[in-house]
Order: sequence, then C-alpha cells, then structure tokens
Amino acid sequence: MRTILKNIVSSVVFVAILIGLLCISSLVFQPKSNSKADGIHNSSAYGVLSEPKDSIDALFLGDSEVYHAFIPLRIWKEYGITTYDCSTPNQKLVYSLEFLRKIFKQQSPKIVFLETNEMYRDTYFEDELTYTIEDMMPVFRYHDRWKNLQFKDFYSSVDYSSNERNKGYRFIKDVKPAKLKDYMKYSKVSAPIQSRNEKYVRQIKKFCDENNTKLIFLSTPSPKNWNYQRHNSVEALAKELDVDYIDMNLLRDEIPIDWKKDTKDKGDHLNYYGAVKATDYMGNYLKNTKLFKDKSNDKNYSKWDKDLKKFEKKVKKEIGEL
Amino acid sequence: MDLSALLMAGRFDTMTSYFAVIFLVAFLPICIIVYSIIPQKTKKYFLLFASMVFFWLVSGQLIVYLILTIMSVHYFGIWLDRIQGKRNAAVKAAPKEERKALKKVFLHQSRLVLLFATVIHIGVLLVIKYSPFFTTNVNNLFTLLNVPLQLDIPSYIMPIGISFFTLQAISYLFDVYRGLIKADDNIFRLALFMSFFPQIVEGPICRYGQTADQLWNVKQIEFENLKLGAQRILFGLMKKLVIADRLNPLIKEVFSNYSNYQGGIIAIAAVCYTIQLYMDFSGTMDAVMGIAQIFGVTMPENFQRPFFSKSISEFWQRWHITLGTWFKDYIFYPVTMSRPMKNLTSSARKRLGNHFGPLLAGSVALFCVWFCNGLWHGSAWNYIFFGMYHFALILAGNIISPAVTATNKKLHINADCFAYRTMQMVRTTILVIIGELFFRAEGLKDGLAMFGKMVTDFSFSTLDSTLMDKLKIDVQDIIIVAVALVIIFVISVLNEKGINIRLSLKKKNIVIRWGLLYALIMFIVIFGAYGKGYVPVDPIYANF
Repeated sequence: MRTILKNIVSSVVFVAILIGLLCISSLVFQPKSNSKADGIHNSSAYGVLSEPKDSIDALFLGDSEVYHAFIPLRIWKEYGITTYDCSTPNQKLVYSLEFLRKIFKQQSPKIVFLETNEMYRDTYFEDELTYTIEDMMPVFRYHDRWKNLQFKDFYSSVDYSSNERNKGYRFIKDVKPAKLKDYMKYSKVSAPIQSRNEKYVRQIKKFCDENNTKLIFLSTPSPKNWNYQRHNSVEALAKELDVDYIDMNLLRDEIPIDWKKDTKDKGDHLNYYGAVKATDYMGNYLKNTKLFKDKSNDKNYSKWDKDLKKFEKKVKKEIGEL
Repeated sequence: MDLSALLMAGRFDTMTSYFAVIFLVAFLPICIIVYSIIPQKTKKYFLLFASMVFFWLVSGQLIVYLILTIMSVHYFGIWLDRIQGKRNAAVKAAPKEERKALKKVFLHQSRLVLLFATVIHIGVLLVIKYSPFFTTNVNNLFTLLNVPLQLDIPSYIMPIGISFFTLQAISYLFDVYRGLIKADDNIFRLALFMSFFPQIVEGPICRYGQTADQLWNVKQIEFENLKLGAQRILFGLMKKLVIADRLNPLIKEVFSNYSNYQGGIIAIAAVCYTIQLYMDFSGTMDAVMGIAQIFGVTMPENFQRPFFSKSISEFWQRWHITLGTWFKDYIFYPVTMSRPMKNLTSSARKRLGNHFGPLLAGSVALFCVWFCNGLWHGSAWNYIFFGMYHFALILAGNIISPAVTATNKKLHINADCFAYRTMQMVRTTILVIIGELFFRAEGLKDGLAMFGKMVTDFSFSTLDSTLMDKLKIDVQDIIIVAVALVIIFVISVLNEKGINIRLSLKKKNIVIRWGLLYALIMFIVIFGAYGKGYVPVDPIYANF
C-alpha cells in the first residue's frame, strides 16, 4: 500500500513539474505580437485582434475561399461599414468556433458570415484534441520558433496590436480560367455534412445567439468546391437552425463572375477581379440590412482611410486601375 | 470523445501511427486506465477487445480480413493437430514394420493441409498486394509482343499490417506442423497473439511460442514497467519526430525531382533516407516494445544497432531481425533441407569441395529468401532489385571470404583491430545506403538513373543557401539532427557494450533521472518536426 501511494505521489509530482515546464516554455514560445515577423500563424486573420474594441460590424469566417473573395476595405470605402476576413487556410469548424470565441473577447459584430465550404472539410477527433492542447499550451503550436527566439521572448508579455492593413484580405491578380462542367446543375440530392461538423455549426449558432449576433451561412462562388447537392444540405440546415443562407453560386445575375477571368486557380478561388464583384454584392447586402451606420466620417476610424489609401495604391500599382 | 460517430465513420485515418496524437493522448492512456481497473480475469479479453477496436479504427470494415485469417489459422491448426494425434495413436497401435509407412501417410496428409492453408493465406496476400503489379507487367509484355490485349488492372484496399499478420499466421501453422507447438484450441488466445494492437501495424513478427502465453497470462501493470515502457516510447518519439520527420522534406524533394540535382546531392539524400528509414522503423519499434512492456509483455527485438555491422550478412541479422529469422526458418531451411537441395549439396561437395559445395545449395535457398524479401517490401521492380542486390552482396561475401581471410593472414592484417573493423562498418554502411537508394526510388528506372548520376556527376558545387531553401532545410535543422544522432550513437555504443541505459538510469538519484527525462521530453516538444509546415513521414513499414 505504501509503495502504491509512493508511486502515485511521485507520478503526480512528475506530471505537475512537466506541466509547469510546458507552461513556462509556452510563455516563451508564444509570439509576443500578432505580426508575421514574430512568428504568429495566420497573422492576417489574427489582425482582427488588434482592431479597437467593438469596432468591427461584421465578420467573414471561413477558409481560403473567404480571404480571396471579400475586400473589407472596399466595403469600407463604399458604405463605411467595417468588416474583417477572419479566415485561414484549410480552416476547420473546430478552429472557427475557437477563433470566434477569441474575437468576441474584443469585438461584438452584429453579423457573422460563416463560409460553408468548411462544412465539407472533415473534422477528426485528433483535430479537436490538437487544437485543445495547442490552445492550452502554445509551445506545441509555436515550438518551431526556437529558430528565431529573441531575448524579449523571455520577458515580454503578449500584445496583439499590430495592424493588418488589408483586414484579412489577400490580394491576388493571377488568372487561371475555369472550365465549367455541370456547375450548379440542379439536383434534388443532398450531400451529407459530417455529423461532427454539424455539431460545430450548431455550437457556432448557439454562441452567436448568446452574443446577440446574427449568423448567416455564405457560399462564395467556386465551381471547384460547390454544387447543388451541397447547396441542398446547407439550405436544409439553415432552415432548421433558422439561419439566413446566401449562396453566391446561384446569384449569377447579381454577381456576374466571368470564370475565364475572375479566378486565380481554375475555379477554386476568386482573384481580385472576382473578389470585387463578390464584395460589391456583400457591401450592398450589408447596407440593405440597415443594421450599420456609415462611419466614413467618424474620426475614430481614420485609420481605415489610411489603410484604404495604401491598399488602393498597391492595387493601382499591380493592375493599373481600381 | 464521440465514440458512436467514430464507429459509424468506420475508419480513423489519423491513427495509422503509434506516434499519432490520438493514439498517444487518448487511445493508449484509456487502454492503460481501463486495463488497470478491470478484474484480473478480464484483462486478456480487454486487450483483445482493444486490439480489435484499434484495427477497426485504422482499417474499418477491412477488419474482416483479420478475423477470417484468425479463424482460418485456428481451424487449420486444429486440423493439423488432429492428423498428428491420429498419427500418434495409429503408430502406437501398429506393428513396428508398418510404422514407417503409416508415418509417411500421415505426413503426406499434414503436408497437404499445410499446403492448402499456406496457399489460401499467401494467395490472399498475393491477390491484394501483388495482382496489380503482375497485371501491369503482363500488359507490358503484351505490348512488347504486339498482342492486342490489355487486362484490367485490379485495385484493392489493403488492410493495415496484412504483410505482418500473414507471416505470423504462416509461422504458427508451420510450427504446429513441425510439432514445435500444440495447436491452440482457444481461438481468443490465438486472436490476441495475431492482433495485439502495438504490433499489428509494423511488427515485430512474433512466433506463437514467444508471445501467445505472455499475452494470455498478462498481469497487473507494474509501476516499474510503466516507467520503463514510457521511457522507451519517448526515445522512439525522439527518433521519429526530431530526426525522421525533419529530414522528410529534403528526401521527398530530391527523390521526386532527382534530375534537378547533382550526384552529390542525391548521395546526401540517400544517406538521409537511410537515416530516416532506420529512425522511423526503429523508433516505431521502440514505441511498440515500450507499449508492450507497459502491459508486461516482452516482444522480440527487431533491431540491434545494425550500422555497427561488419558485413551485409551481419547487417541483416541486426536489421528487421524478426523478418530475417522468419525467412530463415520458413524459407531458407525448408529449401536447403529439401531432397533436391540435399542431393545438389552432396554432389557439389564432391566436385567443388567443402566450402563451395554446400554454398551452391545455400545460394539457391538464399536466392529464394532475397527474392521473397524484396517482393515482401513491395510490388515493384525496385524492391525485387533491392532483394537481388543484397543477395548478390551476401553471395559475393560468402564466395570471397576464404580469399579475404587468406590475404589478411599473408599480409599480417589483424582483422580484429579497431581500424579494420571501422573500415568494415563504413563499407557495409555505404553498401546499405546504395541499396536504400533503390528501395526509396520511385521505380527501378529512377533508381538506376539516380545511381548513374551519383557515379557520373558526383559534385556538391550547387550546394548553397538557395538550394537548402529549396530542400527546406537549414543549418539549424542540421545541427538538431546531428545532436539527436549523437545522442543515439552514444546510447548505441553503450548498448553494444552491454550497458542498458534505462536500467543504469534507475540507479541514479532522482535529480539526474528526472532531469534527463524532462530534458528529453522538452527536446522532443521543442525540436520535433511536427505541426504547421511539417508533413510527417508516413509509417514506412506499415505500407509493406
């Protein structure tokens, strides 16, 4: 009995010291700012954490479809509405939920647009486990920073104040035409959503309800990723959860995407030209909700004007027009 | 954990490695906890249940293959046993002069049953694993002969570990046939021997006599075993995460686009691949042994510091040992001891003398072993070439060994001195690296082209920072890999001298013991090549 007790105590002490070491190293390895230079992953999406408190009107949450399709600074220019692309490559719903929780500590957007492509990216138990462990102990996520550790990493605290000028949008002007074959051909069949993903969608909806935020499902134009079968499933889920659903793939008159010119990679993602069309539609949609004030003349948002100028300068330099 | 959804999903693609987070953080701890708290009598059944769940999570419905193999092996074993029982009774009752003939009759029956069982099990393996290869080659032959016929190339999903559990099944049947073991009348015990979850993916290939009883008579988890087992898993984790996975981008890039690289760079990639293969496989074996040790089971070792080998022959006695001994016991000896080979040996002995005479028959058996060895690793010509390469090296070694010994004697060279042994080790290592180049190459044609470049364009002039960026490796990566390799080298030297580092550590005070363990854990956590930006190498041997 005494030996068993001794073994239990020594195991507990060993594990406790180990957890302590992991926590201490997490403090060291956690990037101290939200800038890419400091090693944070997905710095452009994380830029939302540097925005002034409660300054963002609406969020676009999702995978790479989002940051190729919506230009927040264009919506700002046209309507004075502040939006942000909180999107990361291959984003899974488990991550979307965690990210949303982090963002809501700083922001209270009135609308969250959830891009639906990630509903078809399978989530495994391992993903959930990995995100949980990495969130608890960032050393597991940022261990690779050992190559670039600086002295300040050992004493500085975390300060997410680095401004992300494009508000999450990634400018790409490349053109690789898409061949359309049966794109959004009508079907009565539904493509099932993984039950684990559906669980996260419900949790995101619940979270938004608790925070008095309107959740809207949004399918960005993408012949490669989207079809009528998927549309049917998402539409049914939206109905069940009482969520609005915008499928931009069906709005061909309102959003006249030219798949010969408006995609960067054969219909997987939009390029800048396509993004302008998708953004203009969304800007108009947001305006018509009448939920947002035009903040164009609000001095508190003067930084958005500065960022817009820089963005337009870059676009002009790259393609010669806006 | 949403277990119902997990089971409905059928497959759990993320758990194909013993180093997967899901396995190390969820599956294994749950198994250990449940195993510890359930009554003693149920522990063995729980291990069997856990093994089946593990296989299901990895291979889904393909578990049918495993269950059918277990059932088939069980009933064939009993069938063989019954024939032997009948033989014993009949021989006992028969007059002396009839006993020999009776034994022959029963031996014939046993052989037929064994042949039938072997054909079924090897047949399934051949169809699933090799029929696409055979069909492709038949089609190539048709094209060459202008035959206007092309066969459909079949495609099957392989259950994980089929090459391993099929060999265990065959060894069990042969051992029953040879009377080395009694057929197991308990299908659950046999099932646990066949499917024990730590070994089902990559071996070691165990014999029934080695592990079946241990597994069936498992005891309560001992704290000492838990500690030692966990330490060994950690050591394996270091090999895999810090070395094998860190070298992966370089190896992948050079082997996929070898035509863009000089022979010197290809040579570096071949060295890196040899290191990666050893670290991946032996690291996995460390995890397997560690997990088994936690449950109080001792498995046969698969590696014994192979790069300290002085010849290719010795290398294969230290590398994937359980596969080597399987081929020795179930191919080499049966072929050598067959009547035609015995006749060949005796006639060759008369003509070629006592060294080269037996060597001739041995070489035929050796050829069979290495042909099968190559083919076992994969259904492609480069694997067959790999087998033939090692066959040629071992055969050459056997042929010239008397001449080498005589030369050394004449020149007064001490073959036991450090310098000579080091030279032998370096030579063996170089030969092994060349073999691994063909093993990893994407086809025999690529392998030959890569080797050709190594010979004709052996230069490092393009090796600069731009190239290293392309290979996704930098000086810091190289330093970390080097440090990890030095640690492993020092431990290997100590092991070679008979010092067990884990047992030696046990005698040290708690500060040193815990300090070293924390250092190892933090070394893996910080310097492991995992997470964003890294693509872990698939468990290499799980695909064979």
